[in-house]
Amino acid sequence: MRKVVFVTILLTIFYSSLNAKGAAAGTHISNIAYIHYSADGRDYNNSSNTVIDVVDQLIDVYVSFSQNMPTYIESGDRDQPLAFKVTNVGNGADKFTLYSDSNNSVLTNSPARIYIDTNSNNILDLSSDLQVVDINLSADESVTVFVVNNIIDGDFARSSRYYHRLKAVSFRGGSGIKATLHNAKGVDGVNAIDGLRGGVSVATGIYEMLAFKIKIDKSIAQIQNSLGEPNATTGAVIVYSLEVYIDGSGEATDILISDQIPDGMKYVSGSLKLNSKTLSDSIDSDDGDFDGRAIHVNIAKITDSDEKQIVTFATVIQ
Amino acid sequence: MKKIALLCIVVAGLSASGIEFVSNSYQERVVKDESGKESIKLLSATKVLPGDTVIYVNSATNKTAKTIDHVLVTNPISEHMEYVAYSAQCSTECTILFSIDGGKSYAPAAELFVKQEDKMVLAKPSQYTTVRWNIDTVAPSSTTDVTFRAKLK
Repeated sequence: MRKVVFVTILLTIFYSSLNAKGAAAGTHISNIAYIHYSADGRDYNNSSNTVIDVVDQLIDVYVSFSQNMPTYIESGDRDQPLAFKVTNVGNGADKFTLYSDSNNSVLTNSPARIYIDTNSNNILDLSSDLQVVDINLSADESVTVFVVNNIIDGDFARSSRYYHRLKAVSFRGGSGIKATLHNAKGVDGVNAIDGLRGGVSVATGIYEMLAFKIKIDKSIAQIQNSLGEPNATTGAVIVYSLEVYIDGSGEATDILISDQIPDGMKYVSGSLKLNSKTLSDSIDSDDGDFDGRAIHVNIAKITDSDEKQIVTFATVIQ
Repeated sequence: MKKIALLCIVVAGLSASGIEFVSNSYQERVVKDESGKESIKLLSATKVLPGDTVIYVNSATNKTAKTIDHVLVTNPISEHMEYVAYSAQCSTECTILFSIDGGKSYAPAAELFVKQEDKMVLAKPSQYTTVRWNIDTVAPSSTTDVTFRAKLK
């Protein structure tokens, strides 16, 4: 049996675990001790007074960019989402106001919109996801939030990155300074105390311009009427040219080029060519066909160093 | 109102034979004086946060003129709290025991074992459910404090 002597040990205790959820805010922690002894031939059993400590509300929030890759964009794209996860890492319910850096004028000229992923499918659905400016979260609850931007038309450098931040600020606290006390601001009127992040958290999402874009330049290669003149009159044959190439750097595979024959025009059978090689109109082993409405050409691969792939076909004005 | 409430508590903890038994909870806090110098003080707990450590102090005061031997103090660990290792102490000579079964049985920390994957391993302090102090003697008009620390989960 170990004999010990009471020694006061002073340890420095700070709010060492301010980043962890624990006992719920407002919980009453009761402590009672019991004593037993004998005196004057009698046994005595008594209890102490009850010590009650109330659990204050630890305020904290954590925001993270929840994508494992950037959102790839193109000039002029609309409703492009960045997905973030917002978690209440405090020990009580709280409301968090959401802010986004929306003035990235290089990329967008309108304020970002913020949506909750209402159906929790991690996909932005503008018809069902709810646009918000703040969110209510119970302790330890997480929600996916989308910051949504329209990309302006512009000549952006390929593979360039653009950053947007999402910030969540606690309604009950949110001073930004650890251990700041907010009297009676917690659930059920308990004190609220800002945790490790001061009740504020920020994360940065990434947009990235696609490394390349497949461009198709369509032009008229030749017009010739029945008299051999370059006039677009009834009966004239028009040869169209589609130049297919990569703008940027990279490699694209399994590219399908389709072009519908306009009303008032008729496709000239057997006129479809890829790089001057004639392709049959039927669906067969070669890379082209005409289905009665449009021509289709498959290109297996294009790299940024390749020559332009040239598709041509002829039509007759009716 | 506060004084009346406190008086009632003290009366409740005073046995007919003369041992006054009072429980308190404290926390160590860094306090700055007017000059900005920091010091650590024991302050009443009352408000706690997850991760905080609370110091519980149970005081047994012998109000009689006779020595009382073999005083047994038992303190269940509250729900949401976790006993802090090696923190149980007493201000006079005593033996400290622990329970891991809600107070059905007690043993010194070094003799408390639990079954884990077909092996018997030493119980972790976080598994303790109750602390017990067996105080050798409480002299007349003296106070023995028994204390322990517990961390709010």
